[in-house]
Amino acid sequence: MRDDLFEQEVAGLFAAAPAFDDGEAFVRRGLERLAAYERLRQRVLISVSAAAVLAAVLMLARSPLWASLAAKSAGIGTLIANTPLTTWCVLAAAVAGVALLLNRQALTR
Amino acid sequence: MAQRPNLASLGDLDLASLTAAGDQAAFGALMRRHGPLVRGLVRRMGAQGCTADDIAQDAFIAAYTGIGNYRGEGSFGGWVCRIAGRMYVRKARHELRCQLTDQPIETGEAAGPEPGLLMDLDAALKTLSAAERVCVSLCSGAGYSHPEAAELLHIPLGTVKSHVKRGLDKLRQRLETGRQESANA
Repeated sequence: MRDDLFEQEVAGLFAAAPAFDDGEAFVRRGLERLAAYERLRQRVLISVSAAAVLAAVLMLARSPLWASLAAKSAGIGTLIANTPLTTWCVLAAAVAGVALLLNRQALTR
Repeated sequence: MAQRPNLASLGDLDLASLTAAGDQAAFGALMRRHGPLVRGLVRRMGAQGCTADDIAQDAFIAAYTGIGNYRGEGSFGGWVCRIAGRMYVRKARHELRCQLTDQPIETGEAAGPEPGLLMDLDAALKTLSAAERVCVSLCSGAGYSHPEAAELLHIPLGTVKSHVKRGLDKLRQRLETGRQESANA
């Protein structure tokens, strides 16, 4: 019982927050980091979306439909249709990776 | 045009709702209100200066991303304190691991502040071992139950209980001594 009461007293002492002189600076820096986090999150979303679009293009390029279209045309269509699967994967990963690397500082800033 | 409410006058739940709607200024008001509590907890757990503030800010950012989970059942500050406590343990787990699981070394009288100084919680916490301080801070400061703290720290429940018990005993002794000294002064 005495222990419980003392534990409550200690919890009350913890709840009394110490005073900090730099409270506004803490909030300002926190909001800056939050904004940076939001920017990073949006860029990750864009990167993932770009990778998904590339993957969709890849699937289309490998599909019979595209092959039949490519057979009727020349140039870029044929190039896309003939690009190996591995190249597309590397390209998709590179787009996502470069975007992440470019924005890595946003996390640690 | 609707007039913007004075953020400082709004309750935590209203500010959380505004934050969930994308109002970062409302979140700033929450940080302003509860920042000292969270910063104080992380420092009391053992983090220092800038590291403590980084952990506290990380906890606020985590709270921001999960703001939809805050239902206003407890104080917002208490909710962020739980997040901050978990983050500190994760960050310091490597350093804490050996101290948490080692048997306590009885060194007689714990090193404390100089006699005659007014004792307060922060000074009294410095007389605890790292393991005791973390366990007491998690359970009494961040609101974790003993089983939750054991799970978070990856140590047996009995070890958490004994760290908390020893820590509270030391705190009681130190705080009482300090009160007696200030009464005599």
